[in-house]
Amino acid sequence: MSAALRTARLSRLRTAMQAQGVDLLMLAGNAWRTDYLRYALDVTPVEGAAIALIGQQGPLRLYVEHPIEAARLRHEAPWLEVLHRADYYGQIEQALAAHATGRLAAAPASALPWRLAQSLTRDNIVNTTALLDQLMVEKLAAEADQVTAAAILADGGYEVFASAARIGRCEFELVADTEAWLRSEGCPENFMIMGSGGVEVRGMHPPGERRIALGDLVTTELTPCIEGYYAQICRTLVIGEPSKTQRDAYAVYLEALEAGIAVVRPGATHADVARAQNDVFRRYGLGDYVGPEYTRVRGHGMGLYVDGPHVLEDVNLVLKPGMTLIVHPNTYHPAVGYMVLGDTVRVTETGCAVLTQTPRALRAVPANAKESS
Amino acid sequence: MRRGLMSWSPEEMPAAQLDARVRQVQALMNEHGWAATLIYTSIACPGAVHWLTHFTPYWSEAMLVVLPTGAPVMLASLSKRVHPWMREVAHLGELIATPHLGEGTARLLTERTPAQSCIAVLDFDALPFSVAAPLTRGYAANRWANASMLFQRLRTGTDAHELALIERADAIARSALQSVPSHAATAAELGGAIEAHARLAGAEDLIQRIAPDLFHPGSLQRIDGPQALGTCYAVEVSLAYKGAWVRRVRNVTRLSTPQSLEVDKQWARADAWWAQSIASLGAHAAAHARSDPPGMLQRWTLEGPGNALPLQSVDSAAQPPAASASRAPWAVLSAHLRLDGIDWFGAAPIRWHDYRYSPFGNASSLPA
Repeated sequence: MSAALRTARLSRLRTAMQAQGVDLLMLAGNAWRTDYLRYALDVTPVEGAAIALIGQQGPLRLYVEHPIEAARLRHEAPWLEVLHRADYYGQIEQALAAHATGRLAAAPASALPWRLAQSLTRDNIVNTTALLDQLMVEKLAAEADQVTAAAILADGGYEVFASAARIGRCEFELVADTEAWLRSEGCPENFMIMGSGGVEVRGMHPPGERRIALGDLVTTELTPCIEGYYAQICRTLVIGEPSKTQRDAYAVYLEALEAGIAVVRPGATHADVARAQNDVFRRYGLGDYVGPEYTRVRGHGMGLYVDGPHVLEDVNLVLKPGMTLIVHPNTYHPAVGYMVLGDTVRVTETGCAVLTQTPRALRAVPANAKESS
Repeated sequence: MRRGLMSWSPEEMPAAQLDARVRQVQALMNEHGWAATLIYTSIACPGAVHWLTHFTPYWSEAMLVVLPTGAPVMLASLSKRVHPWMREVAHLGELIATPHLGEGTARLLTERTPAQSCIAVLDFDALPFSVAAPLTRGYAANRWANASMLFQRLRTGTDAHELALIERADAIARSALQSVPSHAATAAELGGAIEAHARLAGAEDLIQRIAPDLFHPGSLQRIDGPQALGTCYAVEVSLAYKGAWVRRVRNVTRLSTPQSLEVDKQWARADAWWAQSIASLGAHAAAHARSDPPGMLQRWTLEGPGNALPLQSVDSAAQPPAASASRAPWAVLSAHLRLDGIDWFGAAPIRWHDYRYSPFGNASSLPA
């Protein structure tokens, strides 16, 4: 992470705090929700929890639950005061008590520990989850550039995945090849799920021991990150020659993706993007498969996490230049099984730039293909 | 966090063993008059729920509700379409999809427990606000009890299946570290080799930390980019196999003789101290075990099975040893020494056997 981007984000955050009259901001994070701490302080907890206390000015303090993480973060983030004590909560409560008169804010509710939330019983507590979400969704150009870089990594990762998909290999071996390549490219994190099989497959999940077989649809949602910023690619391939049924089904997803991307521009909403995709499914009599019984999420923001609200027909988030999101009409098809197809895009002044470069065509892996080195 | 192989083999972890663990919780509930025990899980805090069900959410969150009898009920914020997969990789009873975990749990308690019961919550302090607030608003408990200390006691029993999984995790970790290519020049190159080896061997998760140059005082770091490795470096892997976590370190020197002789000599002293520390852990207080190091002790951490975290610190420079730390069936010990001009790191899972601690596997340290 460049020091300039780190400084720019913190400055933006502190400006927002001032505008809301917030004297002290408490941000929580853990290995699942790293995004708020990453945004404010450029740190990523990988084990245990951490809490940051950020004033409008002055030192940045990070309280870390696990001693191994404390040792790591002291070294990795010299711009922070990293504190660790066995009495993790007691130490933070003591620090909060020293700010008894100021206006406090806390976020996100999904990672804020109950004990600390309870200790904040004053009337002047503000939940700033929405404020932070807005900062993360409406990105600086340098942040969107990082998503663009991550999209290149996602394209490369998919090539490795597709090359690894061979008859007889286990699902987890495909993921192992992909993860190893991503790590060798300097990628610290990757969210990845997959599926393999036929009409019985209704979704994706972490890899198991199932062996790839002739005729399988092999799906993946691959999401590497660079400097904390994620980009995603969703693709489906077929082992062997795709059947006509598989090709016809896939054509619907391709049309839906193109329809969704076509409406991405400043002023359009998440609802518009979702509706454009779902209308295609409805036109082909597949409306049931884009509802809650199957998969209704037609995409989501991409950034330090799944940014902001999902792309759904009832979400009226207005798109602005610099926002980055994935458009993905992923769902179950009754004739062939679960299919996925999705590209990461960046909203521009006049429309959007498609960041994903991998061809959208249904890829066929020859049944006798050998792995490329 | 990176999701690798997630699967459940009843041969490795029999359903009967998981059921027996649930019955231990139910006995505790009976003893204390708890109408239910609530255990929250996410990928950040999977320890206890995995121990009881073999389930770790790869995404989102879930709540396990243990009632006085029968199989626990799991409420999960994951989509219904992954329920078949959840059942495939875990031993679950009733499974309920709920987008709002706090409200859903309150509703279940209202339906399944007597009014105004005493409800135990594991790690109540750490429960996310987004779950705890609607839970405590939606169910009028007579008392919310924090079950953490009592539950921790259950984890100190010996469990051959758990030990076997740790042994497997350790074997994968050691083998991955030994696969480090001698020509690796960057952290990314090193990381890629370890990742490939560990994941193809079935690692579920893998965290790598690297000290890139042991001649410069530092710490094990998460290095994202193509940072160059020094002539002496250390790499630590924290690795999970089917929910069992271990840590292992390898100190590597690429010096040629005669420069390597001095490094070898210093590291040999560190290795001897390390072996002695492990051996004396069971016989003496932890403070004694970490005494007389051959250099400056920068960090010492003893971890045991945790409620939330798979590895929970029970003794470090910042905390007194917990009572449960002494003679637990297994633990993970790690340390960082600053020797004369060069650093040394150690980490290994250890087990209590024949009245003493010893490392899992054959060797206490890995070859340089």
